[in-house]
Amino acid sequence: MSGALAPDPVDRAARAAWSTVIVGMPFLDSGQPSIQLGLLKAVVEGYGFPVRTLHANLDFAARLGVDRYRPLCEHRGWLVGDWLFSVAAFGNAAPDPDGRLVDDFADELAYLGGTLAERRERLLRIRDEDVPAYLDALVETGWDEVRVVGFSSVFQQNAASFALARRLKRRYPDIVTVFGGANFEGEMGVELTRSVDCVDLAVTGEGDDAFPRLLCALAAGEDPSGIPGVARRVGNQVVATPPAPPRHRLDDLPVPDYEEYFERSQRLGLLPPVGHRTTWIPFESARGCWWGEKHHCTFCGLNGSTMKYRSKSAQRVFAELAEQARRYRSFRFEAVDNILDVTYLNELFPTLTANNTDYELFYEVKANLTRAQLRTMAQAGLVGIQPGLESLSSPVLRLMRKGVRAAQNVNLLRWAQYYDLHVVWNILWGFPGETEGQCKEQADWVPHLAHLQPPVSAGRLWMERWSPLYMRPEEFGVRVCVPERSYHYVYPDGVDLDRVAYFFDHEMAGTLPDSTYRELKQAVEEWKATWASGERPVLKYWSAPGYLQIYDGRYPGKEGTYTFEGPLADIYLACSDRPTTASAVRDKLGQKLPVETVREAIEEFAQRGLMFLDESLAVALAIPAITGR
Amino acid sequence: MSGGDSDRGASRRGFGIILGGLAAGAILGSAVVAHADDIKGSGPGAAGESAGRGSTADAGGLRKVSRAEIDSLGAKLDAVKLSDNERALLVGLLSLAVDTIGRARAGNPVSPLVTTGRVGEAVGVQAPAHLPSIRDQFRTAFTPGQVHDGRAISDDLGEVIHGTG
Ligand code: SF4
Repeated sequence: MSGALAPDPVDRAARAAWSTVIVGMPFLDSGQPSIQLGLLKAVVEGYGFPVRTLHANLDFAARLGVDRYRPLCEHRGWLVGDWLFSVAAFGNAAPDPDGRLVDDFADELAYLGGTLAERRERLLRIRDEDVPAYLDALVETGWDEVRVVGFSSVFQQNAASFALARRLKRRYPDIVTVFGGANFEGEMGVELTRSVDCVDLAVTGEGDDAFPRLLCALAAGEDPSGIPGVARRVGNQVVATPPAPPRHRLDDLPVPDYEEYFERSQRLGLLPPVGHRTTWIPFESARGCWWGEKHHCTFCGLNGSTMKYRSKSAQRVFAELAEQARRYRSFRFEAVDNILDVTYLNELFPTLTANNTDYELFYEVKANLTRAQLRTMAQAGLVGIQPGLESLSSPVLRLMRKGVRAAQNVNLLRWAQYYDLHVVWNILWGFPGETEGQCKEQADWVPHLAHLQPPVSAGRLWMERWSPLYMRPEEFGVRVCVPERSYHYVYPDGVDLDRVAYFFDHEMAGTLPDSTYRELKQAVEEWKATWASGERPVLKYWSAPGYLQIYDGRYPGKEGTYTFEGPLADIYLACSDRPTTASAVRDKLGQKLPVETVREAIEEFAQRGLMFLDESLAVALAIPAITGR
Repeated sequence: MSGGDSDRGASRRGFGIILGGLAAGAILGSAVVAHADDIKGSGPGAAGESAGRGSTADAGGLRKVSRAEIDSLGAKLDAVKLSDNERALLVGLLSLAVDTIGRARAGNPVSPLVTTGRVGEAVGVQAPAHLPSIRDQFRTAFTPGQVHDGRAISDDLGEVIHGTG
C-alpha cells in the first residue's frame, strides 16, 4: 500500500500497540481462504498495525467434518447456519430455543439428507453441543494482547460472529469489535450496530480505507465515528457517517495475505501437505459491474452502493497471480469479480498465454462472449465461468434487463462445452409480465439442449436488498416485501428485520404461480440427472466444404446421423459461430439463396432440435466434433 | 408503377416488344443462367422445339437464348388470355427484369441475381439456386444408429510414421 493513502499520521509506536485480529466465522466456505480477511490484513499491515487473520471457520469445519460443514455453507437463503449460532449469539433473547426451524423448514432443509427426525437430532446437537464447545475453544487462547477484533460478515456469518464477539467481550471487556462486510452495508450495518450489543463499530461501505482509518483513530485516541463509512453506537443512538465514494484505483491495493489460512488448514488436517495445488486462490481484479451501471438487472442485489466499475490493470493482475502462485504453491485462481473486464480479452489473457502460465482460472462473465473470446480465455487457462444466463427466453431476459438474448446464452453454453469450460448458471423465473407461453417454450427447448451443461438450479427469483425490484417496488408491482421468514428464527425481537434482512419474501402483480413452472422445473431436473449419471448426451458435427454430418445422441434409443449437402450444409455452418438471422445467412452465402429458402431450412433444422430459434435469431446446436480449435 | 400506367403500356406494346429489350442480352430463366446470343433466323417454332427439348444447356448449366427464342416467348405470352390487371402485372415485372438486365450490361448491376458481365457484353441471370423440396432433403438426411467414436489415432498410423524414420 502506498504511503500516500495513509490517513492522519499517528505515532507508529501507538499503532504497534493496537494489535488486531480479523476473523472469518462460519459459515464461510472452508475450501479456500477468505479474500476479505487476506486483503484487510495486508491493508492494515501497511499502516503499521500488528495484525493477523483467524479463519475460525476452519475450526468448526474440522469439528463437524468437512462433509457436514460444507452443505451448511451452501445455502444462502434460509438461515440455517445463522440459526445454529443464534442461541450462542443472543442467549435467552434468541427466538427459537425449541428448534421449530427444523420442522417449519423441513422441505427446504431436506438437502441435508436423512429423515426429519435425524436432521432434527443432528442439527440440535450441533447447535447445543458443537457450537458452545467450538466457541469456548476459540476464546481460550490468543487474545491477551488483542485490542481490536474485526469481523468480516457475508451471507450466513452474522450469528456466529456475534456469538464469538459476545464471548470475547465478556472475557476481554477492553476489546473493541468492528464489523463489516456485505451484511453490514448501509442501513443493515447501522441497524445491527444499534441493536446488537457486542457490535462496537461497523464499517458500512468498502473497508479498505475506512477500516485502517478507524484503527488509526482508535490508536490516536480519537472518535472514529466521523470517518466516512463508519457507524458507532452512542447510548441508544447510532452515529453513522455515509461511506466515501468507492475506491477508484484498485492497483493501489496490496496483494492479499493468505498465509494463516494455509497454515491453519494444514494444522487442522483439512489440507494435506501436498494439497496446496488443489486450493482455489481468490483474487480480485475488478469491483462493481459495468453492465449494472447502465442497466441494473432487476433481481440483482450485488454492489449495493458500489456499482461503479473499477478494475486492476492487466499488468497488475498478471503480477499478482504470479506472486500468489509462488507464495501458496497453487495455480488455481478464482476471480471474485462480478463481471469480467472485457479489456482483459486483449491484454491479460494474451499475456498469460504468451508467458506459458499453467493457471486454471474462474471468472464471472456476461453471457454475450463470442467463440473467439472464449477461445482466447481458454487458451490462457480459463476452466470455469459463471455467466449471467438466467433464462432460455429472450422476452423473459428483457423483463429482467439482462442485456442478452436467449440465443446468445445457448451459444455460450455450446462454445463453453467446446472449449471444455465448466459453466455455473441458473434459470430464474417469477418476473412480472412473464407468460405461460414463454415458460412452456423454455421447457420445450430443454430436451434439445441435453448435450450442453445443465443449470445448477431453476427456480423463482430471490428478492434481494439493493435490487431494482426491492428499491423501486411500485415500478414492478411489488405488493408484499417482508424479510424472508427464517430471519424470525435467528434474530431477537429488538432487531428491526426490515433494516437487517438481505433476502425478502415477496408478492408481485403480474407473476405466474409455481404450478406454471412445473414442466420447466421437471425438464431441468431430468437434464441435471442425466449429466449427474455420467452419460453425457452428444450432438456434434463434422464438416467439409458443402458437406456436413451431425451425430445426434441426445435422445436414448433414437441416436443417429444426419447428412446434409450443398446449401443445407452451408446454412447450418453459417449459424454455428454465433446466432444469426436468415438474411445474414443469405448474405454470408453470397446471396445465392432467397431468404425464404434459408428461413425454411432453419425451421426444418429447428424442428429436429438441430438449431435453437430465438425470434429472428437462429443458432446451430451441434458442436464441432474436433474440439479446442 | 401504378396499375393505370402499366395498363396503358400493355395496350401499347406486346410482350414480344418488351422482351425485345433483351435483344442482345439475356432472359429470365428457371434453369440457371440465360445468356445473350445473337443467333439469327430461327423461327419461333424452332426456338420452341429447342426449348422443349431442353438441349441448349451446357455442362455448367448455362442456357444460351437466341433472339428467335425471345421473340417466340413474346408471341406465346401475347397469345395468353389475361385480364387487364394480370397483363399490367406481367408487363411491370418483365419491364423490371429488362431494366435490371440492361443496367447490369451497362456495368451498373442492381441485383445480385444478375451476373455482372463486362460493359456491353452479355449478362447472365442467375435463377435462385433451388433447394428442391427442403423437406425431402430433411426426410432422407437421417440415418439411425448409435456410433461410438473409436480412438482418435490408430496404431496403424504409427506404423506408417515408423517407416519414414
Ligand atoms: S446480475 Fe451481474 S450483470 Fe446484472 S447487474 Fe448484477 S452483477 Fe451486473
